[in-house]
Amino acid sequence: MILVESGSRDAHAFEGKVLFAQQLADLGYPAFVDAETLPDKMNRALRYDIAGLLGDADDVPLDAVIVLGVEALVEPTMNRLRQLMEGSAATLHAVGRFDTTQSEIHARTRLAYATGREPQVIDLLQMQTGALPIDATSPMVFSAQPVAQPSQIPRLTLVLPDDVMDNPATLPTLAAIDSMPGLQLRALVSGRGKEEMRRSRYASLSTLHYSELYPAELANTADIVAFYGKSIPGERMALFATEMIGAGKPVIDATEGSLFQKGQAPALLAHPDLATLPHFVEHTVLANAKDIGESALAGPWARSRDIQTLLAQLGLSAPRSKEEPRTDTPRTVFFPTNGHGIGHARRCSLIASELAKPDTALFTAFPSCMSMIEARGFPVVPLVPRSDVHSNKYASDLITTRRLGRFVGPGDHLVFDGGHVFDSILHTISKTGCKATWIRRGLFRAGQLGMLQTDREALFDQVITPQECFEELNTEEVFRAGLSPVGPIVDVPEDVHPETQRSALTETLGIAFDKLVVTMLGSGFSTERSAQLNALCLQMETRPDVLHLVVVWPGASVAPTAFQWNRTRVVRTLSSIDLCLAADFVISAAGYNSFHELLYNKVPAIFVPQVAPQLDDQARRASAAAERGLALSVEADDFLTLERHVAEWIDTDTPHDIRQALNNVTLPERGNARAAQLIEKVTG
Amino acid sequence: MIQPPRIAYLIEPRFPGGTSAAIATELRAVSKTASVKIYAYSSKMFKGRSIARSLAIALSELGLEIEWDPERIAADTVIVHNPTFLKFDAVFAPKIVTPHLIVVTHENFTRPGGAEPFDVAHCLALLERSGLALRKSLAPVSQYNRSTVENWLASRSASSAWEVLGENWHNICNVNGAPPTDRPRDRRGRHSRSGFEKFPSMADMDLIFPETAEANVILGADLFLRYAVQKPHWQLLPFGSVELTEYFDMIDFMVYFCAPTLRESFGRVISDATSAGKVVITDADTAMNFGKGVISARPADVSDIIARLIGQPARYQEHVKQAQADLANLSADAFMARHAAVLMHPEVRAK
Repeated sequence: MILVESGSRDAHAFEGKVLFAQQLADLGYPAFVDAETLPDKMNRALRYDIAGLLGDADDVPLDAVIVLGVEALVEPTMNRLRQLMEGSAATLHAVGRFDTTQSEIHARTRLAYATGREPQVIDLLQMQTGALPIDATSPMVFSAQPVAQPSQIPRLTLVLPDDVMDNPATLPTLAAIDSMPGLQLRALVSGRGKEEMRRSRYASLSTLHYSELYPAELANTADIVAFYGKSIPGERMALFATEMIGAGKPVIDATEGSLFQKGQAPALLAHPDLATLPHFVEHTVLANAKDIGESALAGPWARSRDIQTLLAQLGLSAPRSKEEPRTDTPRTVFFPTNGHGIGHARRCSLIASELAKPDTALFTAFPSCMSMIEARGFPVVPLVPRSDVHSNKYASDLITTRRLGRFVGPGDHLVFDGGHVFDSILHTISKTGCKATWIRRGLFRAGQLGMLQTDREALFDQVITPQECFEELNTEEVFRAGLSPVGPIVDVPEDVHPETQRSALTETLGIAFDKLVVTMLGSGFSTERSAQLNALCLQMETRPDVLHLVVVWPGASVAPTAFQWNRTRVVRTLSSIDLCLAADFVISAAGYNSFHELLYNKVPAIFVPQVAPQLDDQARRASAAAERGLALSVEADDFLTLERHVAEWIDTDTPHDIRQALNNVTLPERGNARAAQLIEKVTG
Repeated sequence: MIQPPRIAYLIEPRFPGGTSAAIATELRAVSKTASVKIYAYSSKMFKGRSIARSLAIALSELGLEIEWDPERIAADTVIVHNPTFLKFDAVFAPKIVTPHLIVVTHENFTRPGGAEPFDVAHCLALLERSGLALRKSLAPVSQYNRSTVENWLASRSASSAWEVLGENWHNICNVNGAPPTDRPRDRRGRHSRSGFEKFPSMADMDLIFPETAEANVILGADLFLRYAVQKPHWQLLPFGSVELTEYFDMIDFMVYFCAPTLRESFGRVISDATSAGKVVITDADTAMNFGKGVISARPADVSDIIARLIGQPARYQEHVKQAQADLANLSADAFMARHAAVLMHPEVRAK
């Protein structure tokens, strides 16, 4: 194993060594950073950075130790290295930037004193041509990439420090550039800049914090980068520029003071005014992109920053071969988020069933959904759900990042279904360059649209938006470019035998009944529904001809009082539709899946919409059905009305009339197959 | 009337350890026969530090004043002690005008393996460029130090303006040794500053300070204390926390090894222990500076040597007495006699 250490123990140096360790790991070297050197405070991005790089240096056999930024060697690092090198056969390498011979000797001597052995010392100032004006710990080298033509729609990344974001003209200019069909824009900004962007009317612009992705991942997902402002904002961004040059991609220096040029970097000088950029990109950069990249790559600045040059000097033996690249058919990896139920997983499984090659589908899913997905015949890789006992709220997503990294490769297609694009998705797509689809459904209420992570849409090759069955429920976003609307994704079982199901219920439960009523008020996570449930159970208790089934999914919480009734039974199941099809009518919340399954399967329903603030607009959905005479809608706190309607539906033919209406209505074509086709089109 | 020779010292009086102590002792000896002038240079290396206590006391006793950062230094002989103080300075302003410029090399010019411990060429070049001297000499402080200086000069392809004095410019040692005990016990100790370079590997430390010893006193153990090294059989004392006399009362054997990447240029701690009447066991390079009384050994052999000497108190005493006798070669008189040609007036030398 190769331990990457830094002379200094500050957070900046830690980040620098993580950046280099990741570069080595990308090349297949068994590089890691010492868990003992973790900074006391880490931001979210750094936690993602180190997830795959941490190791306990005391327990790992060391082959080599590389100390970066050795000119800033501090005593705690010396002491740690002294412990680790004692009795070890590892080679010791020191990499630094020494402005005098004495500073090199000083660093070398201190390291030799601490470890009792002579290090190999590499002076980056001697090795590299020019230097960008930043304080760096990492060697600032790139892993050479083949020179590539820009993607079909060139991806333009802008690095915008705070002084640029403070200019009121910046955001409108960015929006203007973003609206150009010939460019895909991404802005890299500070935390403050991102927050300002999020609060502005330009929140949908694709924006990332400087540290959200590794420089190599940023370079993988960009064709051109332009730097603005009075400074290069830190080591990561300077390394990003280095990776771009190493990948043969144009770097534009629009900084005030031409900072790249001063550092002798092969960047194209451009006017610091952002408004002039589109023409410059179109007429100067894109027209000559290949020549620009090749020329930069062939120059001394780039040649001196090839990581292979450094590795040769370090004398590190060739890396262990990375895992054999898979030769099987590319996978379609579905990642349904957990949400408040299993709706995302159900939708994904319905789409996967429609794939021409369903055996290429693999699911990564949370435990609550696994049995349902497996029952539909798909393999599942389990994910760890979020928990309050975790040390931070993104701990589970860190594991997801690692797990997706193992199962999603460059040729695969990641299909994410959910409202919130986790960082694990961001990292997986950016790192592997895999194809990606976002299935995003939602009947958003006023005020919820701002919560949409439209700034992350650009990560995906497409965004599929399953529609509501009633036109007025489909929001204006249907008409936005880049979205692919499909019909409602609904399960409509073909081989249905309601009478057999009813007989089986009588036999299994030992309860004779004439009327079957199913209640599905939700999992209990989003909205406390025990009051309505108790009222319904009490009402059914006076009905000896009724069997009342409270149907929940296996992970749902159910109030203990629901189990005390003679005419009510609680059923935990992953296929509620089978019971609904056998029922005379259903009392249900109006979530997307339940709502559409009941309508498309012609099941009479009284909808009791959930109104939790994080949920979509169930009330509008329920009203739309009720206004068409296809269902009833009752507000959640209107107990008396609910009781009256339930009694009426038991005692009269109203459910029959509703079923008739449902049989007569023509609903939009289901989108299951269309969604599958769209996915396959991207898969290629 | 015979004028005493004019000797100018150019020093960095803020060196905290052995260098300042050595200069202080030397000034006491030299000022008896020469007219001494003290010039100090405020280097970047010791910015913000104060003058070493040992030196301040000596200067006060001798009534010598320091002239800081002079523009010009002129004397019959100019002695620069320990040129490493110049290692962080890009320029050196004073002009030195003298028939003989002597640079006392308190630090080795190479470490074991050949690497330089400081930018020797830079420091010497600063002095060379500032000086108008007929003769420029490097004065090693010990045999081992001499070997590093000569090796360094030999490794330079260009001809050097520097010659190496034939006699070592040794630290002047206290030769009034305390008598050795006639009942030595397995009470071991070592003392030094607390830098990493002053200690061997932990494996060697375990060999030379084992659990079986009656006492293992480590004076200057600040690093071990700071990083919570758990060795219950070691008595860890911070540097300067007890007087040396008190520390020497706690031990019978001084066992001194340092990092394999360092060798002491002189080994003042060895002469301290010898004067205190203790048997000293150290590595061969360091022992070479002090004669046969100081025992040269490898860490793995230390416990056997100690056991043997505990069983033979007479041999123990012989070792101490031999070492103390050898120290006479490092006395003030020996020093003055050795360097009479440089330090004394011709009339005095003639006598």
